[in-house]
Amino acid sequence: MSVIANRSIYSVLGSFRLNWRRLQLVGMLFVMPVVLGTLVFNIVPTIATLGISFTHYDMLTPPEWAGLENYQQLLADDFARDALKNTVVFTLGMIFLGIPCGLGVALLVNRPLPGIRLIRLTYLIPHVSSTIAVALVWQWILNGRLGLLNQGLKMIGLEGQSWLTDPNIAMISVIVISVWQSIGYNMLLFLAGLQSIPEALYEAAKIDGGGRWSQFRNITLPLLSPTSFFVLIITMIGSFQVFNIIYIFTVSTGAQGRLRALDVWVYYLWQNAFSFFKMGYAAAMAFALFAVIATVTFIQWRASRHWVFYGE
Amino acid sequence: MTALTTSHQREARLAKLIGTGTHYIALLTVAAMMILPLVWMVSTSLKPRKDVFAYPPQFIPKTVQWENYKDAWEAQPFGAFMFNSFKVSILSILGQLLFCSLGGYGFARFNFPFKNALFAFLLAAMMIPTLVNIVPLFILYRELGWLDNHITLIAPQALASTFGTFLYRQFMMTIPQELEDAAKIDGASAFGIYWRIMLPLTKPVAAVLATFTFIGTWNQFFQPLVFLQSTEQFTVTIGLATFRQEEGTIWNLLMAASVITLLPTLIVFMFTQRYFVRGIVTTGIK
Repeated sequence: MSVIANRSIYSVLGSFRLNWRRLQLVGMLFVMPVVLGTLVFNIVPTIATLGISFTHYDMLTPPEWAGLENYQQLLADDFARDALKNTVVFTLGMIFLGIPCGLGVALLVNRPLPGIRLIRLTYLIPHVSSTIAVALVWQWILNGRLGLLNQGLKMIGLEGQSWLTDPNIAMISVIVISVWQSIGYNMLLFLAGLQSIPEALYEAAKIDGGGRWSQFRNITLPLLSPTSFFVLIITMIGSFQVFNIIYIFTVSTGAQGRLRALDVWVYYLWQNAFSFFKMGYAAAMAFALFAVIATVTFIQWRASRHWVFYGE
Repeated sequence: MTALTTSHQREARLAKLIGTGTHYIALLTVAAMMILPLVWMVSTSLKPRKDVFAYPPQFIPKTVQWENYKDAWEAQPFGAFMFNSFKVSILSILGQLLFCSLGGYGFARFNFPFKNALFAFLLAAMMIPTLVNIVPLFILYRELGWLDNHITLIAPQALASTFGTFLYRQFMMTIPQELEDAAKIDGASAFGIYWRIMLPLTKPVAAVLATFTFIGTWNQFFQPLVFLQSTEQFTVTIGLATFRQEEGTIWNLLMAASVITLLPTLIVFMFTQRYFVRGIVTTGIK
């Protein structure tokens, strides 16, 4: 079947044979699907998000113009403020706990020991695992009454905690689980950075009598800074959008068990859109998120021109 | 004097051995932290109900109850969920490989008006997370009658994969032009060159892209949660979340269902880890 399809497309495109070298317009045919697809599924919807954010729209009655009302409401909304606060706390946790952990593990595996490749792969397993399945097993491990962690603590005579239902601890648990899941990914990025640092620099430092810590401070950290910066940006962008793990820890335990401490920006956005059908409001939340991500990405792009080669 | 040196050397060797040993202990401790939760998942999934809450906790189940998997599989239509996830993943991959390689070739080898502007436009679009577009996409799909259809998950991945296009374009630019020139002299059309020369040469890109798309699509949650409505259409992650909501905390079955969900990605990862690692290292894709 593919042979027939191939031949028919082939003969259509074959008519360009005469002048394609000169005009090269056939190139446009090649890029057309992805350009149109991007237009329809990415660019136009983003503009539409902005447009919808200026309306009140419940999907049943036609949208009504609302001007900046949604944005004004957003500024006065306690739930949105909580969601923002929780998202920032999560992001800070991912930055200040997740990135050092990733770097530490990268330093640990940056040694040509037998079996090291297999060990690195083990560290990546949580990253390729579905967050839903991962969240469920952690929910079981951290279960307040009968979870593995509290049972283990009991065995050594310590008191267990309500890791996921105590509002003061729940977000910390979510951060630790997310860090656990992201370590392998951060490790790979840092490892690539570490391995691009010339060994000769360390040799020179040894001759100068620099200790390990001074080597780390004066060679590793500065030369790793492009990687660190990249990891920082990727972590921020990803953390702003945290949703899956929050969904499992709130929705699936039933409405009563819902925890304000875990309400994050995207979760509240999703609720507004698909539980309350406040499409305009949800669009305003989405566009605000986009603005933040675009700003962060722009900063990264500006800075990355110094070290990332995009071709041409 | 000689005796002193040898004892010195022996000491140094011993110190090195201890150093390596400590290093391995550290490595294995981290490895244990990474996989213990998953071991506990498998362990719970095999236990009869009465052993699930046993104290002290048993890592190796006293009695192994394989029926848990059958019960979990039947408690929700997991067969359908798996089929749907495979269908969405495979069609997304095929669409992506086709349209990204076409686009990559167009950008790498032709000079048409606005080429650089269009490419910059794609790079910019790469930065927009799907989350941001969820409201208009939902409205669009509703207008098109696409809600509850897998096309909502496949079409954007197949047609709007700017990242894949970027990857193909970068790779194709490193392929020597001479190969194509020879084919042109032989009278090959643009599409013929793409099909017979470029596609076979870009298999490494296809491998990286397919690996990432499979794992990413399989684990995708937000889009199917929003766009799919009826249980028969659910992908496996949504099915698992539904299982949690409807069956509550029957932990052994829930863990069996989780293992079922994880297994395909872990198997694919095992076989494609080379491409996976290379993909992250060279592009930073998540």
